[in-house]
Amino acid sequence: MNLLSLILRSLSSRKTSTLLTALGAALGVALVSAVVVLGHEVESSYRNSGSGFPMIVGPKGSPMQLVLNTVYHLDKSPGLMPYRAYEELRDARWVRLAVPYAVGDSFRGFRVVGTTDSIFTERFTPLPKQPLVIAQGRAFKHDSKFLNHLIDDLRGKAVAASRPSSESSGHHHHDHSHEIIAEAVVGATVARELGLKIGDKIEPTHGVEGGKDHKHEHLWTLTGILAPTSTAIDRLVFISLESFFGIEDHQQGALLPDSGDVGLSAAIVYPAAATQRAIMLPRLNKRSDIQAVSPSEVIRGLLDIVGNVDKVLLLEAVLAVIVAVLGTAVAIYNLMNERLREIAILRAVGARRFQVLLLVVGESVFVASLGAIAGLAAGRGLIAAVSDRVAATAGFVPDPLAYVPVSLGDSVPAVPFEVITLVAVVVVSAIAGLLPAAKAYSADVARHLAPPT
Amino acid sequence: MSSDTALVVEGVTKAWRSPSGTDRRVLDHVGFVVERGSSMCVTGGSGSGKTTLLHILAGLVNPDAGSVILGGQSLFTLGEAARDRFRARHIGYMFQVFNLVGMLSAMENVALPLVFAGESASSAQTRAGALLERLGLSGKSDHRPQALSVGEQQRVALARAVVAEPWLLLADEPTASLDPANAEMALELLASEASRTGASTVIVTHDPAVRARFALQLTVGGGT
Ligand SMILES: Nc1ncnc2c1ncn2[C@@H]1O[C@H](COP(=O)(O)OP(=O)(O)OP(=O)(O)O)[C@@H](O)[C@H]1O
Ligand SMILES: [Mg+2]
Repeated sequence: MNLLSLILRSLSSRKTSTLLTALGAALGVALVSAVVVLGHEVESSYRNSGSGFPMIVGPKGSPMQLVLNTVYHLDKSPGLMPYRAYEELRDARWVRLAVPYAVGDSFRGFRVVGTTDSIFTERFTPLPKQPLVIAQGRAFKHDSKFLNHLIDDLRGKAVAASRPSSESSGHHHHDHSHEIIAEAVVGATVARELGLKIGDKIEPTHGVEGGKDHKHEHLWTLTGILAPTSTAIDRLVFISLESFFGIEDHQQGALLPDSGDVGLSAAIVYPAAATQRAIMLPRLNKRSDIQAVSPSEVIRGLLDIVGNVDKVLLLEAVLAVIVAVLGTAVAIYNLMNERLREIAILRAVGARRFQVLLLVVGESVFVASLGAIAGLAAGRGLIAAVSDRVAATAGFVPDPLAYVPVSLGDSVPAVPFEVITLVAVVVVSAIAGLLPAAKAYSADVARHLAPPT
Repeated sequence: MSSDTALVVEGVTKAWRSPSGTDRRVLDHVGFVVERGSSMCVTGGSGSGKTTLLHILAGLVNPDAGSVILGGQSLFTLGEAARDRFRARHIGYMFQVFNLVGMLSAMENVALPLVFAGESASSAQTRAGALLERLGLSGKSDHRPQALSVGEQQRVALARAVVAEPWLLLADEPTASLDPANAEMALELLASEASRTGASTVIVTHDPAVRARFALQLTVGGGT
């Protein structure tokens, strides 16, 4: 039996009060932990996918909307850019890879992207240096000749639509739908949540919110399931661009009569050399038909806003912890009057003033730390519990076990934020514990040894 | 007269301030000597200062004047922390009420003075357990005080007072809350433990039957 076991005895003899006060500290710390881990995950995931997509080209408009829609599949598509601009980029010397994105459909709540098989065959890296991997099955079939044919056909319709007369009907009209191979590859989350298997038929609907809009009466065959990426890609359905444009509804919406062209939502551009990005961004932005953005720059701006929200939340959470830790000390203080006799007995059998001080401070520290440890675990648990929700609403998957280091300066190695939190709780609870401890320290031993009257 | 391990008290004076603000002198130049291994009984009316005297002998209350020397060591020339440690090693105290610590088992209560005297937890528990066994409480060492009879609580309090083999054993009304049979047994055990450890004993009592056992007697509060 030493001071520590005396502390434990004293606390366990007042279990309810101990547990309640520890719970208070746990709630505060859980809040801190959840905010810190989530903030870290927001930042790292947005930063990662920002650098996974070096450049995005799309219609003129809000750069933020273009990035949110193309990288995170949030928000509405900002509009359409001419398909011709994509073709130019695709064939430009400075471009290593240009990936077309046509969006606007969904399948049971998951967004559909029409694109080419270049996302599988070329180095398409939604996360830095990590190409897409097909975990099961194979890529969808993509026929570029057929696609070109279809685009030409649609361009003809667009030109016809721009003319006032209605001679267009009958001109050049082919029904391609019977020739199209309609296949789909889905992200890991789509397959898991909908329980899809290779060979299943899926039927996208028009519109991205819910599935109330009418169906296309076309079925796509599932040929592949992607390995998880922890990005918005896990929640996507990829189909070939020609099968996307083959749908009558899309043809109506995709025509750009003003430019006599077909419309495309965006193109993701990987320059051949890193230096090209800085050179080409301003040049492309001089054009009147498209804009080019660097997602990492746009996201840095976004993070500055999110970061401030984060700081306010964190401040509130830290205040909650301080209040909770003070609460543990106050609870001990409130019980102190009843315990002065016990303190006096300990003094009378030889405990020194300093030892009773340590005893009481130790109780405060122990309860607060117990709560803090439980709270740190609960915070991580909270992230695990909301991770699917976050994925659906924010376009990334937070990792509940993410390592979240805090840098204390250049000369000191970074430590997990849990260590900092625990140290802070110990320090605050020790200081707060001095309040009841002072009462024990200064107790008049002889007076409290007397029988209670 | 050997001063070695004997208790020498000289000119101890103590006044308490009453709530009305006037000082009331409860001990007025009290002096006596208790030789090593012998015992003394303190009597006096209620409120006469008996407990106050024991508190001073234990170094728990500072006298206004006078000195207490135990085993050649003057209690009130020691600093407070040193006096606390000295008390843990050399002074055993049985309180007027038993004052056992409710959150600790009987054995842990007994081990407390040893722990505060710096002994390791395991050796303190071993010694406490052996002593409880000698006092016939071997089956009760894990019980909380609340789960013990009054007589048993008294024996645990005795064990705690003598476990460190103190030079001085102080007992405040050790038989007051016991029935005659238990009181008899408590006095026997107290005497035998004191002689076994060689402690000097000071007992406060108002019971004439108890007083009759002691050759050396002191009456306090005669002035009122
Ligand atoms: N800590 C204290 N502060 C102020 N007055 C005190 C204090 N302790 C004792 N007194 C007063 O000193 C007087 C003597 O008290 P003490 O407890 O020594 O008497 P006692 O002889 O032990 O009495 P009893 O037989 O009732 O136990 C009482 O009037 C008491 O009120
Ligand atoms: Mg008394």
